[in-house]
Amino acid sequence: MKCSITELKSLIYNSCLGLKFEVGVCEEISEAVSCLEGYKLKASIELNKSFHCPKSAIKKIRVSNKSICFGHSRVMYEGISSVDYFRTGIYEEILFEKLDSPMILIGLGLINGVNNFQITHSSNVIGYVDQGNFFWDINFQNRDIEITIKKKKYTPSSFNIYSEAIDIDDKIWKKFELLSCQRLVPQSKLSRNEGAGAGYIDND
Amino acid sequence: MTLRETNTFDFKSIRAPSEVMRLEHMGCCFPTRLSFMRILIRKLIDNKSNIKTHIWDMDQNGFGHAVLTVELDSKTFSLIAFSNELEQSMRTDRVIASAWDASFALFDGIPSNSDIDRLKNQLPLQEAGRYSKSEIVISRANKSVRIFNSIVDCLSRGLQPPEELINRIGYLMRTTAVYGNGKFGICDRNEIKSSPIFSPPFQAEMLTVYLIRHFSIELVHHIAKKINSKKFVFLDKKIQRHIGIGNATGLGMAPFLINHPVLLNNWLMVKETALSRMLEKKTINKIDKNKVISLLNRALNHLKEWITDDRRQKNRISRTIKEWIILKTEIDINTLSKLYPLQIIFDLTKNNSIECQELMISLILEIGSNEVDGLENCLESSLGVKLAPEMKLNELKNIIESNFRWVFDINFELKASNSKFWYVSEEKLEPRLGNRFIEKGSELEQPLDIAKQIQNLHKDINNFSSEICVAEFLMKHPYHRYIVKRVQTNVWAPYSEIQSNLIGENCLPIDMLRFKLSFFGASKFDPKSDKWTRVNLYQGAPLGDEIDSLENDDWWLKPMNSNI
Repeated sequence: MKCSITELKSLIYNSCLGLKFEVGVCEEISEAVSCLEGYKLKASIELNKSFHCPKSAIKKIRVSNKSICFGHSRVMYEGISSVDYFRTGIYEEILFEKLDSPMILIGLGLINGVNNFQITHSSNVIGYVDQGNFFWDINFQNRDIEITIKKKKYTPSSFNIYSEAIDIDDKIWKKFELLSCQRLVPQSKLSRNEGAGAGYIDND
Repeated sequence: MTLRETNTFDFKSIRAPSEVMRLEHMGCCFPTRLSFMRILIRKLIDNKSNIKTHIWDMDQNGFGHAVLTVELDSKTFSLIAFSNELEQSMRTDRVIASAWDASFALFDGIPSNSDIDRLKNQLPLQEAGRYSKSEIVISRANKSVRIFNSIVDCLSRGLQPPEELINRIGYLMRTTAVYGNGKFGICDRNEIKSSPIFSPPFQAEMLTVYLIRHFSIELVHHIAKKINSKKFVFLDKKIQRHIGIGNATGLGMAPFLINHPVLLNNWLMVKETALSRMLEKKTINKIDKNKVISLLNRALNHLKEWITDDRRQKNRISRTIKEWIILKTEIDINTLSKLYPLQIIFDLTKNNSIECQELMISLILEIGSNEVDGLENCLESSLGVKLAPEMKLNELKNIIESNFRWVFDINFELKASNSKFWYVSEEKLEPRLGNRFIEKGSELEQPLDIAKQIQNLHKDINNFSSEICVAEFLMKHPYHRYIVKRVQTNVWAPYSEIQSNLIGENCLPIDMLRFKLSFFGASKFDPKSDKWTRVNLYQGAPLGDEIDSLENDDWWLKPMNSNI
């Protein structure tokens, strides 16, 4: 499905609302995922998998002077919080015992304008954001793995390049459309009778 | 670019958000020279643009297609128009319609035959069609059944239509939707907003509607001429100028203001800054003095020409007429020769109705081309609503208690304060406002209950140490993320929130609609309920062959029969 960025962002936002994620979470995730799709990363497929995460506030964290460690983490919650913490500069290191979607995490960093935002797995840099540019290792497709975020300068071989054409997998698009319908309310007779154009002269 | 970014925002003598952000106040606004249609017309004039007919392939009944082109900043844009026969049973001017008299696309460049063939299949479907990035805006319109055929009939018999009829209706076609910004696959606003033409808000949409207006006049001429080419006459130019494009605006427009807080802030900041600059003018020259006197008369004529059956609006108009007549006797060349003359005439309205005050503000801005027009580049927002995660909760609490005092005047324990809920309808994906205690679906409420969310946030903050940061608070309360961002944004964007309870019994969405439409430049608001209004776009605007001189930009509230 070829679409515009705004259209995709709106569809994802509405899908998240349909799934009853918090409005602030819907905003953040829809912006991050549509932004990544603009760079030809298949973030929508990633999101579809992350949609299945339980919806609850973050409970398990371990904090030391220099680091914060999230347990089994969801990008929709711990992922968003980790970028918030990164921006505060309180901790030198942010760890996830497991994170469902490292790719979307890079999108969250990108839309929040972070700098020297380095994501590693087993000491390998898999993603990096700086000055509005980002690098994502396209060969890295693992999910539910241990991840570390640090503020550290890194020079990738190249940054990802923005592509204007967005093409979403048809099945994913349809799935998102169905999810977004879950936020809709069947229109009552009362509201229909009061909508624009209703009243004494329907045709003008 | 925001005023904050350019450091041109002058905090002296502007009106506080607590005054101008109340819904009742917002619902009294008039178009100004900063309205989006006015900006577009000035841009067309600056460019010495000319609307050309590239293709006109219409049969004797006016069915077929046309391509109109216009040049702006050395780029060509086209309006592609399809005019179809519409079965009577399919005719409805409501947004929920599925067929229309005409459908349109604003196209980037000149369309090829294959583009036209593609759009011939898609455009009449509107929301059900798919589009490409070459399409910047799509729209549709119906002919006014009250006026279209009777004008055709008059012109074909060599007669001009009755002016009373033109004034009462004011348009040949009425749009029921104008879609931009990436909808259904069309071009994203982000891709065009860096261009100077489309940088101010809604310029592409305004250009589309202006070209539709031109098309509607051409169409009526075409059909009348086909009926009787010997007797046919063109519409008088003054009648043509008085023909705009109708629009029925409903709740679809209201949530936009809530969903774009920085944009809302910028519109208000620009307007207030413009007003401040004008009020601080120590003297005005003779030309401007005469202009003020002339505009006082013009505004009164406009008020008298403004027809509506809506009781609330009718009462407002008659009160404003009475107040305006008195103002006219108080304001003369001597008044305007005093120091700070615009401040004086503004102060004269302070005890009058809000509608009267707002009309005076629009008038004052009208003479401020040098002071006002450059602000149009600040109407757009380059900054979004972003979280400041490092902020301590005590600071957040202080912001709420200082900037959002109005929120605590609302008692959400009362049923009346919660009686409405905003939702999106399944039928046409349109925003609706339901009654929480009568209608189903409140569990799917849209987040327009800003005041209530701020009260809830304030309560929850009190359960935490004031020294923890927002990041930690939101980790435990992700529900508040949306509202925390809005509260923080209000620090640097003080006009970002409507200071009324949008789910309360007394919330009148019509006030949001009028506010937004006044920024579009619409006039003659004709509310049909508290949820929708008819308006006229481009009434009085220069015609397609008149966008060549800044003198023709003088069309603020211009009545049909007036040299003023």
